[in-house]
Amino acid sequence: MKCDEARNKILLADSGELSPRAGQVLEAHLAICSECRGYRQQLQAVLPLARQALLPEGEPAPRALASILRAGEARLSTPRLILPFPVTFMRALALVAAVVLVVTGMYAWVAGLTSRGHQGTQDLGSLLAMVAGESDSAVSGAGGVNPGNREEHLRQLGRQLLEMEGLSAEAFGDPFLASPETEHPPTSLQPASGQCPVAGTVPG
Amino acid sequence: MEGASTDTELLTRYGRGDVTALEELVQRYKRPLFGFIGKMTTGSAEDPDDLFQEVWLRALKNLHTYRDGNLLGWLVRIARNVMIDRVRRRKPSTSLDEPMGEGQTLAEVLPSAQPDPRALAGQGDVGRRIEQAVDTLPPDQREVFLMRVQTDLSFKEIAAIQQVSINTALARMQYALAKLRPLLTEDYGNLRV
Repeated sequence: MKCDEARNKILLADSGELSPRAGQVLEAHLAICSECRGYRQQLQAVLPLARQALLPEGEPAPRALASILRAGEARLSTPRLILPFPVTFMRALALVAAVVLVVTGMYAWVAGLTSRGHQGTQDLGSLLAMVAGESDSAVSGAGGVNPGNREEHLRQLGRQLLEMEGLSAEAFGDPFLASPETEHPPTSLQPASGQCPVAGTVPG
Repeated sequence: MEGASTDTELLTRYGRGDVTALEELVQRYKRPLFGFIGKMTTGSAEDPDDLFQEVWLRALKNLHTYRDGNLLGWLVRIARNVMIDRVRRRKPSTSLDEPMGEGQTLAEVLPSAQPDPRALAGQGDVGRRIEQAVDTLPPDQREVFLMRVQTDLSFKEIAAIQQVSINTALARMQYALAKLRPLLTEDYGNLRV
């Protein structure tokens, strides 16, 4: 051990911060170093003297003490939020709650998407089954198949497939896929023959 | 015989509305805290009473941040922060080199912070000389010396308050002791601190 280190350890021993093990090492050094032994003796003489010399002579003014107590009373009378746990714990709890909320929200969002996808698949599957059944019936000559229904089912199937590709039937431009309502779109809101589209004839 | 309440017990009592517990705490630490403030502000225009009051007001405001430990150490830390804030707020508006008339600068007119060694040597009271010698120490060393000797804080606590390593705090103490040596050799002959 070097003397500088030993002198730091002498200070630490004075403040009660030296471990027993380090104390033994220090004593071993002091046994062979007269300089450091002298340093310790001098310190032991000076520090009590300095403590005595630095004992505070004065006291704070009574007005300062009274002011502190008044502030202490005022603080007690102010309603405060009493937390059952330390602030750090409450912060951690809030963080966990926020994470759980975000994860739950994401899960719900993804689950909703999946469920909608399933719905679309089911719709498409039932349409395909229906169209396939109608086609079989038409080929085998079995009765009970309405050609109008079959055509409408085929139209719906085509629209569904286009929607899955992100296209609309109207934009696709195939007249077969266009709905009967949109085959003859009204060109004007004003009835041509003086007929009110809602109430029949125009009065007067 | 019933022992004195611990700081934690008193703080708990105060938290439940007992202001006398706060009074007991203020009384318990008023001397070391006031002494520390007084020595740290020696030669300045600061009013120690005012600082002492501000330290406790700030402590009351931040009582929820206090963790069980050394209350005096916590108060000393607050005192240090209050003093630093005061120094920062008070910007120097006059230069030391500014002429003060009669060919003298302000630095020449102001009394030196270093006491006259002859005056110190002439003092019969060793304690008084130590006290005056402490006033001549640079702030960091004086702070460590006072925190250790006057308020009995550990080096670990001092290092935490000064936000330095424990070795730096120890080194500052060694420097402070070394500077006191010339003043004490007279009384202790071969004393070599």
